[in-house]
Amino acid sequence: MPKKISVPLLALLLLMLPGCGFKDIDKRFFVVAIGVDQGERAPFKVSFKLAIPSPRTEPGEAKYQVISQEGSSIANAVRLMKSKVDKEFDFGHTTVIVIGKSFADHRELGRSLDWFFRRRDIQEIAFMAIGEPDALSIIQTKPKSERLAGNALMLPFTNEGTESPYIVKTYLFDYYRRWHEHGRDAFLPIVSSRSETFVINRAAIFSSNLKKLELTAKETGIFNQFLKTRHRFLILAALDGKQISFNAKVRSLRFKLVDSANKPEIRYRISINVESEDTEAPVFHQSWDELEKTVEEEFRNQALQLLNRLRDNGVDPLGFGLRYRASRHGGESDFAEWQKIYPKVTFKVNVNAHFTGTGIIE
Amino acid sequence: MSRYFYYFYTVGLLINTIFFVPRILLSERYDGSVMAVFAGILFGSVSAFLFTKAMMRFPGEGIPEIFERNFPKIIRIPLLIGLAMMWTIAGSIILVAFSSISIRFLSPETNPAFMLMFYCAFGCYAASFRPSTVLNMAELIILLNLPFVAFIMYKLISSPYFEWDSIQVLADYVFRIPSLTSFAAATYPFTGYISLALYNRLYEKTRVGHLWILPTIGTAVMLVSYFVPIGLLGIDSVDHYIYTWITAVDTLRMKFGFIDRALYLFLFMYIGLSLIFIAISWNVGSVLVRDAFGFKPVTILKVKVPSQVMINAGFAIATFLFGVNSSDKSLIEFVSGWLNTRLAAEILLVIIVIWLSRREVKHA
Repeated sequence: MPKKISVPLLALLLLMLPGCGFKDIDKRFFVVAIGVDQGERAPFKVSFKLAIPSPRTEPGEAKYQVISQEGSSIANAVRLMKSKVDKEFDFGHTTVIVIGKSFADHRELGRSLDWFFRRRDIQEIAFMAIGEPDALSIIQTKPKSERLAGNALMLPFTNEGTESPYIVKTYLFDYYRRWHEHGRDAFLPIVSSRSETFVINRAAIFSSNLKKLELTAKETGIFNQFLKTRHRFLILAALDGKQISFNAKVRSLRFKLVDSANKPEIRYRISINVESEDTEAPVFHQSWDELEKTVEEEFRNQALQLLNRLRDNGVDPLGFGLRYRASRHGGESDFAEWQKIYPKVTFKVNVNAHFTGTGIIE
Repeated sequence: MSRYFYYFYTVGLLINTIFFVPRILLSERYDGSVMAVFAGILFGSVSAFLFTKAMMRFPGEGIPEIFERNFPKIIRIPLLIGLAMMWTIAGSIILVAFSSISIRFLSPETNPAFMLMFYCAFGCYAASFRPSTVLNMAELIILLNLPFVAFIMYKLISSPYFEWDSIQVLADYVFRIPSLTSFAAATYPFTGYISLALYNRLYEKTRVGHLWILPTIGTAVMLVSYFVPIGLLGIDSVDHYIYTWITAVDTLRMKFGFIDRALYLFLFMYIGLSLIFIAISWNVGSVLVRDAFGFKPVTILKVKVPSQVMINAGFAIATFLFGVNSSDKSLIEFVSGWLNTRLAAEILLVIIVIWLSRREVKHA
């Protein structure tokens, strides 16, 4: 008897299965990169790079399609775009969000990008960047080496491919928390496109989601060393008129806030390992202490220049304010106090270089 | 044998420190919830300890038998039903929450009502086994999932984006009086020890040993649950997220994982843990209801249906109706209100059990 009831009952349950609500993989377009620009007629111009799956994955064979649409909001533009394509958009593989330079220069990058923060299918680990001259041209760039659509733009950020000291990276969640957190400002890498490649070697710094400052490539290289995700970098120094390039690696880098009366200081202690990589004269028999001193001096100057520039522009991407809030015990008043202190801060940088060798020749 | 007790305690901790508790606590992080966490740990551990000790004076007996000896029917039945409801609702809110998470992150195209229905059907099925079977199931799932959960927690804390400064900001806000809701929320994850009220029946000869485990895991899990989202999502924006922990795990990128978005691994682990939590809590709830009224199996169309199945089916239908009519907003509002009631009920139960255990010893 139980079987007589249960078998038809189970069979009836099958009728309730959702059927084709689910869309097959060949009916989907994977959006691998999204660009946001100023529109000409509407506030937003959204561009998608849509990967076209193909059986061949060979360098330069990556197939994709780029579409753009203007709209009064990002969501609106996306809805309008749906009528331009034959397949359903899938944002599960969206790894790079590019914001056009003029958009970043003239608009606040917070509420206007709400769509990205709110959507559940945009991953928190998507990378954000500013595109030069605009987002669309970054998305359209097709490097010859690209094996999968969108990969060439993604690999520099993930460090799976190239590792450059000039590439800073910002995850979507990191941007969001820096936007909201008092005492730590957001930064974004700037990507510019040459006809068939990208150049990512600068960074823009934001303060309460408005772009405040653009760092040069040299400053970006130093700036990256102050973040936790740093790579080997190069210090150029001159000893007795001869130029020496040092390959450097930061071993440890920490700072301390000291606020003695009226003379607030931020003291950095940095220790680096250096190795000479390219010299105009043999260095092996020179005093290594002196080499270390030269490097220390050079790095200290560059670091001070950067830190002073950040302070003078009133931006704080390195989280001094957050450290102040963390280490002082005034509760809500901490941050207001810090804003008064920050413009008066002096930086002291103490570099300790350790010279490890001269390569395989003297 | 006593390890089964800890399994359920652990499941309760792991589940409840992911779903509602961190969100309630973190929304009041500047208004005393740090203190609530520490007070919750203390309160939870002490009451777990006292309750376990008291229950061990009744070897092999569950609450229904103990109450039967001591209370007249008119007091006993409301108490047992109240306790059963506490358990059932604990399972039901996790069921509703997980079904909405599944829809949002795993299968957005599925009809929410179907998703909820299948979870309810599964809960009804899994909760209708004998208590010892449910506990064996729990052991299997915990042993399979715990290493992965621990791995993800480790990866989160060691992430270069984990910001200790954000957490230290809270140092200024430790000595503030917590609200009742945040205190209730902070004690809730520890509630798993109450399962002993029923599962004590399985402990005839063995005694629950190693009681130091209770505060140890409790403290570790609570601190991770409260502080890790702050370190990853930022002290000032951590309360913007609706599924705090899901988003916190989404900040983790595992380059060489099968899928670089670690979130999916985490959700996969938590399907197992949530289902076992639902199974255990409904199991306890249904057995309590059955024994409160002394229900006998019912015969429908010549098929003998155990009364436990009927009760669980009732739970499933009620949960389904509740889930279909709830939203993200109404659910969290319901949970905050319910947590306060539950705290009162839990304190009452612990006091009654301790009182009974003292009295019986005196009379013996």
